[in-house]
Parts: sequence; structure tokens; C-alpha cells
Amino acid sequence: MMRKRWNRIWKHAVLAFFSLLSLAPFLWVMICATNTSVDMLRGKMTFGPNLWINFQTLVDTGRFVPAFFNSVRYTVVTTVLAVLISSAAGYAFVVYRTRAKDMVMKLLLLSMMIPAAAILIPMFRLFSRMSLLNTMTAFMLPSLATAFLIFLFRQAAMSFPMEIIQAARIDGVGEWNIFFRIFIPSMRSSYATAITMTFMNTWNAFLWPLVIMTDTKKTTMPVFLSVLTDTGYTPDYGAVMLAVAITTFPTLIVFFALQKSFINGMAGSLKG
Amino acid sequence: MKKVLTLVLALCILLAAALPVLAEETLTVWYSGGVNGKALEYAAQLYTAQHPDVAINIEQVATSDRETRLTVALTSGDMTGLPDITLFQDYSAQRFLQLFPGCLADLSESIDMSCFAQDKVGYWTYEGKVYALPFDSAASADFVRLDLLAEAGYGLDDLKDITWDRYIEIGKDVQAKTGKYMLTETDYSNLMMVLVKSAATWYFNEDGSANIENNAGVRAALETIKKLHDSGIVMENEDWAAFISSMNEGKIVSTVTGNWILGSIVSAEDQSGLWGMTTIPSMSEDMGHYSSNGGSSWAVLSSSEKQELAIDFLKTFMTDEFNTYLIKDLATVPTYLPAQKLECASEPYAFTNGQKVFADIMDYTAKTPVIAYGPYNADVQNTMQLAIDQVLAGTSVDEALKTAQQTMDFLMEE
Repeated sequence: MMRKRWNRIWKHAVLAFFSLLSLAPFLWVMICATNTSVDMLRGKMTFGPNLWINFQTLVDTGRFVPAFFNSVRYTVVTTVLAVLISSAAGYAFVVYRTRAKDMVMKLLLLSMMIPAAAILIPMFRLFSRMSLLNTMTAFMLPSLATAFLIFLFRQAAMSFPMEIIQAARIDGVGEWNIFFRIFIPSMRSSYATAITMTFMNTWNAFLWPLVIMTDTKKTTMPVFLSVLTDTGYTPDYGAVMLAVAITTFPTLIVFFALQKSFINGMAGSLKG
Repeated sequence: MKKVLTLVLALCILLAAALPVLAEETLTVWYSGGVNGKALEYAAQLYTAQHPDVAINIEQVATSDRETRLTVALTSGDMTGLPDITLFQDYSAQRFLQLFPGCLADLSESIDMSCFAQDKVGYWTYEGKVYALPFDSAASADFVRLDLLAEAGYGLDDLKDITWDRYIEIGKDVQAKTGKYMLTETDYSNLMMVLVKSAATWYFNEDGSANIENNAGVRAALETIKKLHDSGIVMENEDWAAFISSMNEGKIVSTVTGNWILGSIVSAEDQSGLWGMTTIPSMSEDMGHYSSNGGSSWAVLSSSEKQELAIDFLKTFMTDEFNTYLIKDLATVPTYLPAQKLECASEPYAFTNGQKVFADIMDYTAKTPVIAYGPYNADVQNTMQLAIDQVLAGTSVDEALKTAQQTMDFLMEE
């Protein structure tokens, strides 16, 4: 009995230690966000009174507020559309039969091997020719149907019992209704995974928005962060850290909100 | 009739009042860094006051982001969204000039380049033409804490025009007496550039091939860094933030780098009056005390439809009013040589205990050797960083130089 208890205490102590260790950078970001640049460089490790001043500095740049709302807008729309389109595609790959199905899937997977940076220049040219620079369409279009998401949903759909679909068809339910009313609600964990991943990738996207959003009013948070650290040889670290904290929060919120389903989804996709 | 006349008159007045607000032409300028932005804003104010029909739209784009965007646009041949004028790091000059010939407008016809420090003009010269308007001075200097030096029984003059060997000697003594490091550094990459250039050489031959293994200046620079490291007088910081904080916290006695570091030093206001500045040590009696690292310049893009207007705007940077603002309000030293005669340049500066640092920096700027930089500047710096790390880890200087030469030969062959 005693031994069991000690075992548990020991386990918790180790876990607590490592949790604190991985939380330390976040804590440090929060501390720095409340201090002045000089205090931070002098190694101050306690919360300071400068949070509001740092926030004012960010607002005064005139780019923080638009960048934040641009990021929110682009990310939410992209995530919703990408998950809908890709899940419909993944579902179709399993439920409908065509001869070229497997070939198309292989080609899709092959496209995952091409690094984004390699097609940056042709993509820029394409979007510029279509007069889409500085538009949300240009931001979203390349990430609406990604091979990764389609594959994720295809694997998930494979574990979905075909009998239910057949039964629904016999009962006269239309194909769209089967997808929206039966498939989506029962695949909650896969959707949670897809939403978390897409949200994170879109929110953190840097290179593509940097290149296509040439208008400063259209930029996103990561590009704004990059501008913020670029103040010659003396960056205002207090303001930078506050911006980092603010940039991290939305991803954290989405992750925590969907955490339970996310982990199930990850485990589920492994079974494949 | 009267009514109609009054109406016409009123309309005329309204129109006349509205006209100056409608700028006919807009110039877009990209910049980065705090000081550059303030300088640009002021230049725009001066220019638009005289040319009310021109509007200047300034946009901050981080240095590396600016180069990414420019590279993507220039490679794809689609210049949509590029500005009329952009700031460039001097180190990137030859890369853009040689990889994308003709991407920048030739300024040598319209601007008298002999008015600028020739070291800066050198960065931007390609096939006999100059492609940018030199901006801030990057002349290297030795910034010193006078109070700590005095505590050990030395004065600023004891550090003036000495060799690195003597500097290490003094450093050991100062460290023994004050307990503070003599010099602060990060990974020696900045110092390496300062040292090599102070020997009036660079990593390339005139024909563009790599000149490392048999270059006396490069060899001396590596040996000096090894000596400094072994002497234990150098505080070796993890990163740039720690480097800056070593000064602000008063952990070190001196720093040898570009004079732009002054902006960071003065941010610790409690140290006002405690700092002095002198020339950097030389690697041997026959090598110099003048060098530079960092700095930037303004270029007009050839894709701009308003090149003439852009060049006309850049001439604002050559006015007394602008340069006075640069020195007095921004503590930034221009490379425009006539600025030396400005009153503000020779005024005593309180932070440096009354020393006229701006005049001194301009003097250093004019004496900085002129070097030919190639397009492989970024590569050679990475290669030399490896050489520095090898030497500090115990590899012989000969061996490290040989490896560096081979690496560069291989890279340039491709």
C-alpha cells in the first residue's frame, strides 16, 4: 500500500517537473511581455508593470490591429472551407467507385513530396497574372484542398461502416444528407484533428502571405511579428514578446477546445 | 447675375483649396529598422513640403522579408507590388547587382558619388556604375567604459591606435583589477569582418576568385580571434540580446563593432557620461585601425515608372537640413561627406562625456579602406564562421584556412 502510494507520488513529481519545464518558455514570454526591453535584457524574471505600455506600442505601429483581424478572418474562412472540401473529397474516395480512384490518390500523395518553397515562384507568377495579389482568395486557394487533409479523411472514412450509408440510401436519404447528417456528426474526432491542424498551419503561415500580400494593410500576424523584430539593432523586446504571446493564444485556445477529440482522432488515424 | 458670380467664386475657392490635397504622384519606399524609418519620414516631410503634388508612401518590410520578396519578383520576372525605392543591406549589394543585372537604376549620372564615403560607394559599384545612394556610416569603433578603465588606472588614450596584443595585455590587467570582461562578443562573426577589412583586404581576388588560404589579412584575423578567445578577456554571449545586455548591465569594459551600436548603448540612460570612443586596435603595425561592418543604402528599382522622381526625392538625403536631423535627433552618422562641416557634427555629446563622437566617426568613415565585395559575400561569411569555430575548438589556423578555401572554390565553381 505504502509502496504504491510512493510510486504515485514519484510519478507525479516527474510528470510535474517535465510539465513545468515545457511551460517555462511560455511563462518567460508572459513575463517579458510585462517588462521593458532593458529590464528583460538585464535578466529580470518577475512580472513587471509594462504590459499596457507594450500593448500601446503595438497598437501605435498601426499594423497590429489590422494584422490580427486579417489573421483571424483568413484563418477561420480557410479552415472551414478546407475542412469541408477535403473531407468531402476524402469521403468520396471511399464511398464512390471509379476506376481511376487509386491512381488519383497516389498522385495526390505524391504532391505532398514537393516542398512549398520549390513552387513559390511559379505560384506567385500565376496568382499575379490572375490579378489576385493582395486578396484573400490568393491566401486561401493553395490550402483549400491539401493532400494531407484528403488522406486523413479518406483513412477516417474507411473505418466508417458502409452498411449505415446503404441503409440510409434504402430509406431514401439523399447523398448530401448522408454526408452532412450522418458522416460529419459521427466523425467528430477526425474533424477536430483536421480543424486543429489546418488552423495551426494557416495561422502560422509565413512565406506565402509574405510574398502575395504586398500591401501592408493586408498582412498577417506572423509577417507583422517579423516586421516588429526588425527595428535595426535595438528591438523593443517587451512589445515583441507581447505580440508573440498574442499570436500564440488563438492556436492554444483552438487546441484546448478540441484537445479531447484531437487525441482520439490521432489515435484513430493510426489504426487506418 | 450677382448670385451666379458669387457661386462661381465660391466654387473656385473651394477647388483651389482642394487641389493641393490631391497628390498627383505617389512614391512607395520600403525600409526596415527604427532609425531608417524616422529618417525616411523626415526626408518625406522635407520633400513633400516643396513638392505638394507628390505623396510618399513609406512601408516597413523586414530586411530578410524584403530580400525574399525582391528575389521572388525578380526571379519570376513579375514586378507587381514592388516599390519605387528600397533600402538594401550593403552586404547584399553585389548579390542583387550580379544575379539580376539591370534590376536597379543607375544613379552615377544623376548623383555626384564623390560626395560619399568611397568605402560605401564601393559596395554599390558594378561595371563602373553606382546603383544606390549610400546612407548610414558603419565605420567600426572601440566603445569604452571610461569609469571602469580609470578604475584600473588607464585612460582612453591608452587604447588609441594600439595593437590587439597590447589590447589583450591591458584587458588582462583591467580584468584583474575590476573583475569585468574587457571585450564583449557573440560568435566573433562581426569581429571577423571588422578585422579582415581593417587589413584593407577581403575574401576575393580582383578576378572574383576566393582568396583565403594565402591572404595575410584573413590569417591574422583568425589568429587574433584565437588569441582573444584564449586570453579569457572576452565575454562570449549566446546571442544578440545577451550581447546588448552585457553592455547595458555594465558587465564589460569595451565593444569593438560598427558605430551603430551607439544606439543600443545610449538606451541605458544611467550610463550617460561613462562612455568614450576610440579607434579599433590593429592586427599588426602595418595593418590599419579603420574598418566597417553593417550599414545600408537606398536604391531605385528599374521596374519603377517614376525613376526620375525617385532619384529627385533621394537628393533630399544630401541636404544640410536632413543630415542635421540625422545626427542631432537620431544619433546616426551619414556617409555624406559634406555633413562633416555641419555645426551639429562637432558639438560635444553628453553621453560620451563630451567627446565629439560624430565628428570622429565621420573621420573614421572617410579613412575606411575601399574593398571589392563579390556576390558570394553571404557564403563566405558562413564558411568563415565554420573556420572560426574550428580554430576555437583546436584546429590549426592553416588547416581551417585550407578547408575554407576549398569550400569556397567548390561553391563558386557551381
